[in-house]
Amino acid sequence: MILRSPSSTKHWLRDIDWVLVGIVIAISLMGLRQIYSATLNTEFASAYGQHCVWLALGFVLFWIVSTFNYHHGVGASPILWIAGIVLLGVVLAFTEPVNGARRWLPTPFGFSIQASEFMKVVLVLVVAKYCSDYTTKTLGARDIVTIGVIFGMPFGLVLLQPDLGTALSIISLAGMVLYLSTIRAKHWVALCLLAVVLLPVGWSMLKPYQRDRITGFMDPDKAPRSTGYQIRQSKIAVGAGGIWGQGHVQGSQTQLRFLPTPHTDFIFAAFAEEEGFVGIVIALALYYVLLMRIVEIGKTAADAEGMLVAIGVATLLLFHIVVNVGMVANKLPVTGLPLPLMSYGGSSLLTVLTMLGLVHSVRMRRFVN
Amino acid sequence: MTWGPKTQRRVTVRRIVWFQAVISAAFLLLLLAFWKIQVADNEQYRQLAEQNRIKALPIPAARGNIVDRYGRALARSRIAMSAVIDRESAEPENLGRIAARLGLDPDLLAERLSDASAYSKSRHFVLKEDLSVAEIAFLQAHRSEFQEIDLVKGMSRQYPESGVAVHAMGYVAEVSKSELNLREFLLNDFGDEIGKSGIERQYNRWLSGEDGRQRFLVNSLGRQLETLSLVDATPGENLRLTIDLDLQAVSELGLEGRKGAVVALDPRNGEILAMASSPVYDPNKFVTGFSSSEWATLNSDPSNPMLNRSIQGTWAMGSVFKPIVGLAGLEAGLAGPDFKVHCPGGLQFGGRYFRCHKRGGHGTVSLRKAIAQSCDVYFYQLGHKLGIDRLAAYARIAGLGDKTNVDLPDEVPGLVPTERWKIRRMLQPWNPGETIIVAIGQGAMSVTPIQAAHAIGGLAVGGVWHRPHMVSRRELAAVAPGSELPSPRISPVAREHMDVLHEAMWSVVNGGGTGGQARLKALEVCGKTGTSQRVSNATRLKANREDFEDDAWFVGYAPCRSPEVVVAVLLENGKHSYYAAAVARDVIQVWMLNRAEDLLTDTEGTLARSQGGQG
Repeated sequence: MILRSPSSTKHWLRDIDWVLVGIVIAISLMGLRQIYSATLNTEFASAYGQHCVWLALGFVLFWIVSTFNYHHGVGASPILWIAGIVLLGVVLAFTEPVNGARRWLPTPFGFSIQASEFMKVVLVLVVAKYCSDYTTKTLGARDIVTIGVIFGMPFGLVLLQPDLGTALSIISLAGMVLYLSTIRAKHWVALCLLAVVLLPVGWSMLKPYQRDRITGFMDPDKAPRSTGYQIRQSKIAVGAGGIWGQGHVQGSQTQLRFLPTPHTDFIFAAFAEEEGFVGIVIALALYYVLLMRIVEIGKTAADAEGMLVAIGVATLLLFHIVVNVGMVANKLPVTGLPLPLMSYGGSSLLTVLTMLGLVHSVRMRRFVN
Repeated sequence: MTWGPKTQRRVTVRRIVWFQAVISAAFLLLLLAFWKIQVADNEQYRQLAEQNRIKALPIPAARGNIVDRYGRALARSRIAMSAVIDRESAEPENLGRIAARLGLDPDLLAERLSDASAYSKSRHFVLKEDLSVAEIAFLQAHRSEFQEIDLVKGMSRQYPESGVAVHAMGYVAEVSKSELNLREFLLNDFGDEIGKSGIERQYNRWLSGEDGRQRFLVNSLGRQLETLSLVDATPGENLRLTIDLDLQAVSELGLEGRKGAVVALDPRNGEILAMASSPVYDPNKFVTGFSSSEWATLNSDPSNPMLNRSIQGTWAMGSVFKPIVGLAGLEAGLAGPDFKVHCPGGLQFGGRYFRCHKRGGHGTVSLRKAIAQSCDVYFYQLGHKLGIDRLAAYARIAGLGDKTNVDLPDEVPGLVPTERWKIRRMLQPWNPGETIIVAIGQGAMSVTPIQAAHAIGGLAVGGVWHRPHMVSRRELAAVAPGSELPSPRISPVAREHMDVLHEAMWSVVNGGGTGGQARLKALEVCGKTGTSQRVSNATRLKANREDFEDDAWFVGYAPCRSPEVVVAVLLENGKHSYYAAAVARDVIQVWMLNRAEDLLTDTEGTLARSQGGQG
């Protein structure tokens, strides 16, 4: 057993995972460039500069979290979880809805934070804390109830905001935990039955616009103008890109503003139009390598906590990427989830870079035992 | 390692490997989805993107102006804003609001929209022409909301207030579905404005011009960013008619408050100087649109204002036919100076008594006196001697019983009966008593006012019948190359016969005849009156109904021996021909004044008058 901490040696430079960092930088710059193009001729033209600031902040945060021993975070996760639940409750109880949803928590520093984004990071740590031994034993009913509470409460609170996409991302994390655990067959059956029962309940809880998005996805021509329009224009933008793309700041769908929200939720459609299939292949390859790298870090982690942190982050990122890109490719309904590292927006960017910082921390400590 | 036992770790790693497989599969599926949209279906989406950003709008062509022979406006195009709708992007939920704001019937709009999908060749069709300022402002303010609607600078037809020569000019209105199937409108598209009747329809091809097209870049808010291509509209040809606005005006004035028609033409070449029909309608209403009650009133009016009585209505010709019967008698050698008839006030024929219009009789009459005094008995006798088929042959030479083929649509031919016609039509043999009735212009024979002017005019110039027309030979060659007027139908009348007929018709007006009202001091006018019965005298007197009253005719020409103008006046239920003769006199007087002015100022007169007429 060799006790070594990167921060206590001069070898921290050697411990940096250049593949991870390089890909993260590459995707971030790609996103920045696309934000520039998508907002150049709009009232959001300042988004580019703001995003630069967020990126700089994000990378500082990434480095701080990287050097920070993730075990401290895991240790503090119960308190963080409680804090997160309180924040979500405050958001629901005390804030005014913006665009029909309560998601933003104002801070005294002049900016707002999204409590649900903070909760994502917390949940990754909580998973590491409570579930690290689930891989070694068969889960009992009590354990399943614990998991239910850990995920169920934030899920419910986020769903009430309402933010279906984020709520489902929490479910994806819970699913991963169950997948990695050993569960009795009868518990699987019970869980499946529960899901079947809860599905119609969940549907009835959805807001009309959310249902519209899902039905609109099934049949864009019959959808109301707003939803059907988004889907249709996104598909046209992607399709018009062709193999080589229309070129940077050249996509007519993006530049003439037929494509809605081309710098946030639909940034990948704008990217697809301007950079073409070639650009898509490169972007998807980068995301793929990033995810594989994170999973690899999980596999080679020094302990189960580290493994769960990495796999948890990979799960959340995969969910976001697939849901966002799938929406742009017209394979999944519109959910309003941002594309990690590319979409404009501070909350999402800082959350993702924090989570990647945690993964990097796991990586840098893979030989620590 | 706190990963647990080695076997457990192997299980976990295996599960993670499966997770990696799931990631790989997900990315592969995403890549395939993009391949399908971007590469396989690229062409389709490229076109959709183009449809998004490129908008093509029609540029309506200005319809050619129509002017009278001196260049005075009869119909012109003025700039007006039109709202066009893109039927492919029309939002059903918007239609109600659009219809309400533009004052359109929402059901009719929905119907037009579905018709447009079935019939229209282009994406856009005109929703409403000639928008008001308020409507334009509304559409501009709601541009982003109603993206399917565009404003287009169009052209709207404008006729002089309450119209001039409305029946001859015709009107424009939107092409109907059935008209789109006609060869005439092969090049037209749904929603086009076309000439529906009269000159507007006859020369529609040349008047309408060709619409242009503008393609420009738009953003998602419908804002026009830059013009990509522009094909300007080709304006329609301007058309100069042979109509003389002054003659037209005096004709219309003469018909005011009556039912009837006036046709004035130049018998030397067939140019129509005036064509009036009464009652009239307001052609501007077809442009701005009728309310449904206005439309119902117009269509159910028993006096039928839409009918162009000059070419579409037929009446018994009455005594106006007599000069033609006289010509037939002269040419057949039956009505020479030796042929005199004693008129006792009627004629016993075939067991019936045929009365002359003058109860006391005309005494002994020759052809000259018979025409001047309009003696029926003389023409009973002459008609009997000629026989119906010989009579009909001369009537046909004069152009009766056939369309004159004037350059106006929907002319009717009238009827000249023959023995053959009667057998075919009625399955009965010809009765000789009918011949003598036809000889005084009654019976089965019927003519249009333009035929009356054409027949007498051609006769008066010595047997040369030019096709009546409203667009002169020269103008036709300039505007519509390839279409030509045919040569006149010539059947020369012997000089001495012509002299007899001129003298006779001179006497009608100037010799104490029936047409004294047409007399002018400065110009010798010839002519022939006529009254034709609608029903028998007995019935008329018993019923005492306005529409049973006799129709009155006067056909006159001047100057007497070398006619340059012939005027036919018909007054439906006009009772006496005095008033008809007076109307013809006024027309001829104005003709004379204009002619004098032309002679004095020569060609400059044209210019002076066209300037004066613009006011």
